[in-house]
Amino acid sequence: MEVFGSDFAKGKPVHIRLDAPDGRILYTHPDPQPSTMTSQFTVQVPVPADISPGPHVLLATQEHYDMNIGIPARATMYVNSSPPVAPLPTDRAAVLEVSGGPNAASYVLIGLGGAAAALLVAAAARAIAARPPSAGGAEGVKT
Amino acid sequence: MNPPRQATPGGQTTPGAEEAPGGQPGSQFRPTGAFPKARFARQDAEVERLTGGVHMTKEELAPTRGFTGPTSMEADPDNPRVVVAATADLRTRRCRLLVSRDAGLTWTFSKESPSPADYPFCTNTTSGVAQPQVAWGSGGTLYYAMQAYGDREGPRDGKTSVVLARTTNLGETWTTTLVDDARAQPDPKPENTCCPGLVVDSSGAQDAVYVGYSRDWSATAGKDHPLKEKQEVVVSVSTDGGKSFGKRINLNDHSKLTMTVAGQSYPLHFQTAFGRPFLTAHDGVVMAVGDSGPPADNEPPDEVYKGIFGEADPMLIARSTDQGSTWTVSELSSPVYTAAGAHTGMGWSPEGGPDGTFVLAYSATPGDTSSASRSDIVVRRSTDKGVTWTDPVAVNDDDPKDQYSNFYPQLDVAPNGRIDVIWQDNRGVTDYVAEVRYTYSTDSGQTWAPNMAVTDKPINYLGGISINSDIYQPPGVASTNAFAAIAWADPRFAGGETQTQDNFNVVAQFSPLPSEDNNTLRFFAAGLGGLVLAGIVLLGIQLARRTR
Repeated sequence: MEVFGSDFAKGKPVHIRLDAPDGRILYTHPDPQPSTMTSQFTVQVPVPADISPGPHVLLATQEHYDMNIGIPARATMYVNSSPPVAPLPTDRAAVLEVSGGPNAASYVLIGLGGAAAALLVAAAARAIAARPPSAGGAEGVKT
Repeated sequence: MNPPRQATPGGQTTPGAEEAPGGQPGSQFRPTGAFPKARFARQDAEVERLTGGVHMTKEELAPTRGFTGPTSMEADPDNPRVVVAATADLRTRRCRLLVSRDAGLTWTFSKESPSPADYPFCTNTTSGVAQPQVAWGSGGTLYYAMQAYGDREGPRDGKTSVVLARTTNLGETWTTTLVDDARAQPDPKPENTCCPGLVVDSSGAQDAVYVGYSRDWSATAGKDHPLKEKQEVVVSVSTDGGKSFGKRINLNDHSKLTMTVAGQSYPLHFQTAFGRPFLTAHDGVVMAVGDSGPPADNEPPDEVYKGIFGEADPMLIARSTDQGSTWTVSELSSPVYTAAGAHTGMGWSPEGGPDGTFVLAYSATPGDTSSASRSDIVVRRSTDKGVTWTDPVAVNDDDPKDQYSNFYPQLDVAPNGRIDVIWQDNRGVTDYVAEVRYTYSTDSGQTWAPNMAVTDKPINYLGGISINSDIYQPPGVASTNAFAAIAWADPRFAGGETQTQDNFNVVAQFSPLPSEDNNTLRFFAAGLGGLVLAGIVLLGIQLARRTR
């Protein structure tokens, strides 16, 4: 089958392997050209006679250091079969969860708390007002 | 949580195709080495909800739009529903600000462009780093750093400047400052390549703003000019909230490090090839990170040194505690390959100790490996303000024997200390396809959540503008206590001729957003009701007494 490769580092062979990074080599491209940033090749890769039907992965490996990240490169092929129908993507949320804020019970408690506080203040004020005058206070004028 | 992956179309055998006898065992495959894995564990927070993909750039309708990846994005610390992202259109060469006011569910472009009218263009030819960058400062100020040039200037012509724009109204209006003006320099003019680094330290009375970029004269200096091979990796500093900048600092002037090649000693410098340095700062400490190599104007011969991309060299870190006046440069790592670029996500978490934790994430391959192919996302932590760092561990949880590549990391930290790390990888996909993957830590990076793929569909880079010249950018992440907004460049709408490239994002939610309802009136009403109730009770007591 026809296989296209690009952006492999120049100077070292590219091995096209079957189904695993250490799988058997189906084809070797000797030296991608013209440069690492621009290399391209199109080759005919023989398909093994004993390959099982169904999906397989071609992996291209290269032992080299020169900006050639992404190795092994991978491509899928289907032997005597067709690509499966893509599954429908799972529905994801379209909105985010938002806190509802204080509920009605919270507001009732706030109100009761305010009422209790007000009654306490009133009771305290009444208690202070009802206290007898202090002993050292001025006496009324006697006539 | 991961949606099913779409099958990648592949070839089919055709009847009559030549069949090989069975293939050759060939030379032994030597797998690329890997870093030790981080500890993965359940975190104190979990992603409760992951949204579908949001089309961030949908306001731009031109079919030939070609947006860079929104590598730099941040949530407003004063209003976490507001998230901003810096992006640029590679076709028009103009920088834009994207704004969301609803936690990343919808986006608009800011009313005005951050670029000054006389320096309208901003894109460059870097790859694997942010182009424009944003960072929040104090008082609701948003800073936007970018490269800046006009007609007959630019990355291919040399002569590019650096600008910092500021806004306090999400881009309705901007104020700009020239950080480094190439037009004001004598000939040959420099090319200032910006902005891989922007960070704001708000710990002082005024924001300290640090802009990281590189400089060279390769396009403008004559063949034998002494500046022809010179390269600088610089930081420019403002200590007055971006209103003015002092003299730029070349980090390599502060490096006393050396490397030995074939028995000869060479200086070990920050290298600049695709835009450096990367910056972080907190509470008076600022740090710059990048990969290294010999100076461009003092390289070892080709026979003994295969260049900065063909050799394993250490990552470097420069640290300053005096607002960039002086720097200490040291080796951050042992020699590594950075074939995917050295983009480093950086941040600070308040957790992990009395001084908090600085945390870094970069992509690297161990230096003692057989090829530079696969890479890990390596995380380092410091709990002593960046003086010492933990050994590297990989936060990608794929099996190294599968030989997948993990690259282009980015990192952000939520106010509650949760550290978010994202990156791209080719795990389980084929052809020119990648996904964005995510992990996070709620214990200052000591353990990490199992990885999750977050892209709503794999990114097929064969279609978009970035494939033209290998100009790619890492994905971006903005972290709040309630969510992480994660965004990337996406050519899903590309046609054969248009090469359309947009920005897309998802939101990973951890906890409910606070209600936006104004509850003040309700609290007041409840309190008033309580007072009324008290008054009724008192009146009732008074009436009861009178009737006795």
